[in-house]
Amino acid sequence: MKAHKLILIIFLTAFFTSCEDQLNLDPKQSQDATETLSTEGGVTNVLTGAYALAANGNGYGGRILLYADLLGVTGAGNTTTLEWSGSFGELRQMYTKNMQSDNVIIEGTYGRCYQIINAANTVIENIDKVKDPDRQAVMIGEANFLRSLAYFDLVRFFAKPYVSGQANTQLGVVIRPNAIYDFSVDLSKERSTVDEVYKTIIDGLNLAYTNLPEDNDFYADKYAAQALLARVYLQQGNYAMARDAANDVIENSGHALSPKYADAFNHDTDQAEDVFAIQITKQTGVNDMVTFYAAESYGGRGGDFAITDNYLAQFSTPDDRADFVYEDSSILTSKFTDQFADVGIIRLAEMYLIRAEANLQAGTAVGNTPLDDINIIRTRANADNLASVTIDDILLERDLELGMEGFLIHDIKRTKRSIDISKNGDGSSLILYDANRLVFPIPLSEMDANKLITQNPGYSS
Amino acid sequence: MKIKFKQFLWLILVLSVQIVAAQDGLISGIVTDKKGIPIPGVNIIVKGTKVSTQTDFDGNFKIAAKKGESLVISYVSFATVEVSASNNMKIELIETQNELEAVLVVGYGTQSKKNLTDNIARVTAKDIQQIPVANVQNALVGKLAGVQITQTNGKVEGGMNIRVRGAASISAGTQPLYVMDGIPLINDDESSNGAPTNPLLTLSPNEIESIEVLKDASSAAIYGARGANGVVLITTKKGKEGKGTFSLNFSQGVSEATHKRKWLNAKQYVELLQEAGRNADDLEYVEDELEYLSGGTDWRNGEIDTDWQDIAFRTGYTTDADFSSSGGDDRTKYFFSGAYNNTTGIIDSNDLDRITARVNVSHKVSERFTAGMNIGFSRSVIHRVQDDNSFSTPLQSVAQAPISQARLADGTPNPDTEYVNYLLAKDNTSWETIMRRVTGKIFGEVKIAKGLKFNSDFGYDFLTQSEDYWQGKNAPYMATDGEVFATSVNTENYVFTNYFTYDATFAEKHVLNVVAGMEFNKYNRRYQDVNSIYFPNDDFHTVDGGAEVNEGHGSETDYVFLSQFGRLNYSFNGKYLFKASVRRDASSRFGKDERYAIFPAFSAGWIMSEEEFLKDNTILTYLKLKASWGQVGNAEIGNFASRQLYQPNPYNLKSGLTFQQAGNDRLTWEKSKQTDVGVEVGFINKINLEFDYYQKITDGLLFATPVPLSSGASSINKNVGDLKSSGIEITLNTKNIETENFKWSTSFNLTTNESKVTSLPNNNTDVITDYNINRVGENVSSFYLVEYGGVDPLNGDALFIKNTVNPDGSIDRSTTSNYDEAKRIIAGNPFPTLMSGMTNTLNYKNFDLNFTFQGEWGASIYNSAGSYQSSAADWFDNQTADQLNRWQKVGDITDVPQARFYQQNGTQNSTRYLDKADFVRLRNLTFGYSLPKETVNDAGMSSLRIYFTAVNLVTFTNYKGYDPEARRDDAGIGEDFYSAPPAKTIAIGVNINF
Repeated sequence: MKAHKLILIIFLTAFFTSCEDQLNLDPKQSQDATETLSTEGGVTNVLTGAYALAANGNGYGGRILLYADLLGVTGAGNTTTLEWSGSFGELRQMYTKNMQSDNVIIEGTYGRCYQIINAANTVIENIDKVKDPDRQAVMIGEANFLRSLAYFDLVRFFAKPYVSGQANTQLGVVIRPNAIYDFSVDLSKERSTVDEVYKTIIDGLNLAYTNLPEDNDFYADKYAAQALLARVYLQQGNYAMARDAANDVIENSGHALSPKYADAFNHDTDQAEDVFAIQITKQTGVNDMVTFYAAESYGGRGGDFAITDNYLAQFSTPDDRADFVYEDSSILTSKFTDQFADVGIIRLAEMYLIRAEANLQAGTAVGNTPLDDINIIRTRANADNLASVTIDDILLERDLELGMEGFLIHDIKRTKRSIDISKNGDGSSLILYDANRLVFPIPLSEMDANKLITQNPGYSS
Repeated sequence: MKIKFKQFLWLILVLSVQIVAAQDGLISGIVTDKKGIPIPGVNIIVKGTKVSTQTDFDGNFKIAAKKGESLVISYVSFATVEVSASNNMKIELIETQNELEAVLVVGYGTQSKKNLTDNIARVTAKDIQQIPVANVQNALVGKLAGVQITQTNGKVEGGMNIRVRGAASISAGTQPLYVMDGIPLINDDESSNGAPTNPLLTLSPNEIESIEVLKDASSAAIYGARGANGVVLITTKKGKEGKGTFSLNFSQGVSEATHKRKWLNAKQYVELLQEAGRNADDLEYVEDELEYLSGGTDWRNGEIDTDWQDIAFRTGYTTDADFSSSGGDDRTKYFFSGAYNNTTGIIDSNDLDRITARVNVSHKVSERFTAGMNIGFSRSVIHRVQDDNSFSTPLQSVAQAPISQARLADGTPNPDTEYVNYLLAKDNTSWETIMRRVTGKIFGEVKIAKGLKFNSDFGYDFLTQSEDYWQGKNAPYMATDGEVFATSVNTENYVFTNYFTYDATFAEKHVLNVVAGMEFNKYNRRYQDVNSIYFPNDDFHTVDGGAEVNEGHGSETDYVFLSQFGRLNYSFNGKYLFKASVRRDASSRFGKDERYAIFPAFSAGWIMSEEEFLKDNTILTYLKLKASWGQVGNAEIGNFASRQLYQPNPYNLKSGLTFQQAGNDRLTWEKSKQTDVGVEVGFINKINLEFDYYQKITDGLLFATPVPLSSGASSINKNVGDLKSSGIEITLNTKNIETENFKWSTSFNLTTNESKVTSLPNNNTDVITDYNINRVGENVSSFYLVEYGGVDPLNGDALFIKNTVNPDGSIDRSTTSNYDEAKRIIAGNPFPTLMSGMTNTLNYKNFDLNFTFQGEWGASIYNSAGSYQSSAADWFDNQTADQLNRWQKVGDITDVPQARFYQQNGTQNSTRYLDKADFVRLRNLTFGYSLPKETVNDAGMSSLRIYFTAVNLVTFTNYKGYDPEARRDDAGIGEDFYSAPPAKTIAIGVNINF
């Protein structure tokens, strides 16, 4: 009897003691942040992870490009160049220029951009964990590139447009100059001005240009930064800087136009024309361009955003670009027909178009004449050469060459054009380039949690 | 003196101290019920000895006893009698339905209802058997005061939501802890298609003896950090001493949706769409699309008129077959059972096929030591459809235009519909989920000394779920010639429990019961999935058929609980009851500094009817006052919720890490203080009334507190915020009529609940998620919407009430057609504030009738699909029939705005799509007839009963949607989004006992 009890007590004591150790468990699919950020491998992986964030559908996997065309087309029955028939109400709100502040798709992209920004800031601030100074420089360059890319799209969608020659003190977006590690404190912050945001973008890209190598595999390199700078300057109407940046890329980057227009699309490794592309594989990333532009047989939703005759009517004949379409239940672009293909962000053709426009606006011919640059683009598409070019010709050429690649609304805004949403395009119902309706609302969840932020005009909080 | 002697004997019995009895003479007799029908298996003990026997099949017994010795005759659900031995005894037992004598299962022990100071709701086998529903939880609806049980929607595997006395949490788990025979059950939703599966679907009602729900802290605190949402104790059946029994049950039923909505037919659809197109000056576009949708048929004259709803729903079938056998002698007792359930759901392509089996055996190895084992296994195969938010789920096809054909002339699904035709998914995809579960334990009980015993249980629960999702070449959105997604998840939970129980009585008056022990619980979950693409043809449905394995995942997680617990029950003179319990829990889920917590509870009761002044009162036969207070915890916050984490996020096949979760070192469990005050009253032994007031105050609520998205994170887990849940519970059991041939009893329950937020993070900043808000002073997860203001009779504009604050502080109730000018308001409660259930049981001769009404009041449901389906033809979605009441001309008074194609005239989120979900329903009804004994005895059976049973037979509601119990299954709180109504089932069946 007593022996029994004794055994029991010994047994239980031993059991309890051994159990206490079992309480120390670690997650198996995650790692403590302090551990991640304490090693070179960890910090390096956070940088790669920032690209992975960008490769999401609601980031640079497609939707950021899609929004520009949804907002840019007229959406009117008889004039629209692209017609939206998708069922996502949130995207339809963009098509009808009628966004709501509770639009969860807009919220997703807003949050995604800031995830990229915080990841980039984290890499920059923890760069001392990386031993090799050369490697440090490259990583700082890439982090700055990604951060500027994200800010550029935030400020273009969530703020009133940058107007050349003005003070641009209108509200831009929240700038986070430092990485955030402690989320338990009040993180409220007001938006900086558009001017300040552009300054942050340009500073970051200049630093990236300085730090990055000429070639950096599929990651951002020197010329990716320079090409993005060209785009930013163009948006600002700073033609001289835009021209020089674009010229640098054309002259020095080693990139070349693909021999055929079709070759510029639907590939899963960077081609000569790709200055920067988001890499999609079957395992990682989402190509949402295919989702919304492609037929079901290509992995799309059946052509939510289809080409109309109005778009095709702008082409002269012949033009490979006009034929780069296919018929499903409607006319769809052939630019996005492989759901595992990379999503092009900057291709060289854009640089020719920027150089042409900037030279024309500046009255210069740095690198080439505007006419020759436009004809280089047209020749590749087997379209007849132009005899002369005007600024309107160049803007049209951009639409023909870069249509559905995420440029439309930004071009409209920087050239101060209006969107004519009247049914027959008679000008009776115009949305001005700087209308409230063309600016995304600050997402309601940001409004709810950020006590210092100001909503865009025209939206409820 | 007599009492003392009895107590002494009782002690001797309990402790099984051996006393040698003289054995001279045999006494014989027969035991029958009131009607004279012999009862087999009745226990007969010679009082004061261990001499015992049981009646045989014909109720006869023989026992070695002397004339004049006392025989104690007992049998389950009959009153125990004591008679003195004589020759040729005729003993009549009287059935007891006396609630007070009931023995309830509590954590780590049992207790009589009479001496209870806790609040425990209970159902027994007879309350839940033969109800034709596929899961046990559904059979409990309406039968337990204070327990709200809701199936998400009408899919056979649909998730269950159980709220015990309202909310104790907002964002941590709100489901109770399930403990079966001492084993905490795995209750993880392992579905990967967005809609939940119910892991407890694996249980069969036929193996369950009783279900006790521990509602208050006094009862649940023994489960410490896991008790805050209540504890559901499931006890499986055990063998009883006596002749073996064998029973069979078979039933077959048919079911259909409780309710279908009315949609436009082709003619109405075309009329409304054309009108909408005209009003928006876009008729040409609309007609072009109608032309496309009609597939070239004559849509202007209604050539095609497809009722998509009719295609999505179908007649369901249920088959239940089960058997059980039990018996035993004084040393060994056994129970085994098997059950089969086949449910063809009311939603196309949704069905369940389940087989379960169980064996429970115990053996008395010696007078001191008893050992045993319970083991049950089950296999459930479920064919599933996509979640409610998926285009290819059957019920989303109600959005399709009625002018579109469902299938083309050759029988293939029409591919040219407005949204993807779900028939493409039906024909070209399959989703098969198989849940396999083994739950069992081995246990031993040692009697160490007088009044002292030691129990040791080792329990093990293993749930393995696999999913196979096949998509063929012609599946919707297929671009890879087929795709297969296969998952496998193994979850195991083992628990090792050791505890001592000490029972003693001192000086006749002091009765003491003490329990003390420890428990170690370890959980492990291991998950894998793999995806492959590019298939040779549609005959290959496994991963190996694909040319490329393009995606795979694997993960594993654990947690550990280490606990010590103790409980003391003390009663004085059978009148004054006192109870205290404590549990100390440690868990790996919490940071090292917050790892331990102690959960105490105290309760007391006073049985006033035992006092001299009430003792002989024949009207007021029972009166007990009771009160309890305790603290319980909620540990359901995820396994590593406090840590700041990075997770893998590769890019272009290179490894990457991404910020995953904002950390909070101070994160700990939610603590809930619960108070209960109650009274139990019995009148003339026929009416029993229980009345309780309860209050749960949860502080340190765990919140995924939103942080500005511009920080790069969306939320941080914090223990901030308080919640108060309170209400009353009334249970009234009456025996209305009790005559020889006719018996009628009623059990009624009523619960009120109000769960208010009392404090929130960031200085009480509102926490808003989609359509719900948590705001101080308001109900948990209240609806937060712009208020719809009807239609402007002058122009057909939808109006919204501004609800802005005027400079003088008053609210501007004027209307606007500009949605952005209107502010959101608290618009409703997703949870009911009043619930009630009433069960009537009637027996007349060989007929029996049992029916349960259930009602809920105070909840609303938001139909987030309203902006598509009730939009007065804003787009090509088919519309609910009420949209025909749209505004058409100046002066029209209606709440449906003018039809304007694509103009968002009132389709924004607003109270337009919020509706009250009050209802009363005849939850179930069973009518049975037992064949006369003589007839069936000749056929070798001891009883045969045929019955008719029904679930959800009638529903009374003004709710406009499908059903007040159809809620969105992929997200949302109190939201409907193409969600399926529950099934209305009628079945007939037969029970046979041998």
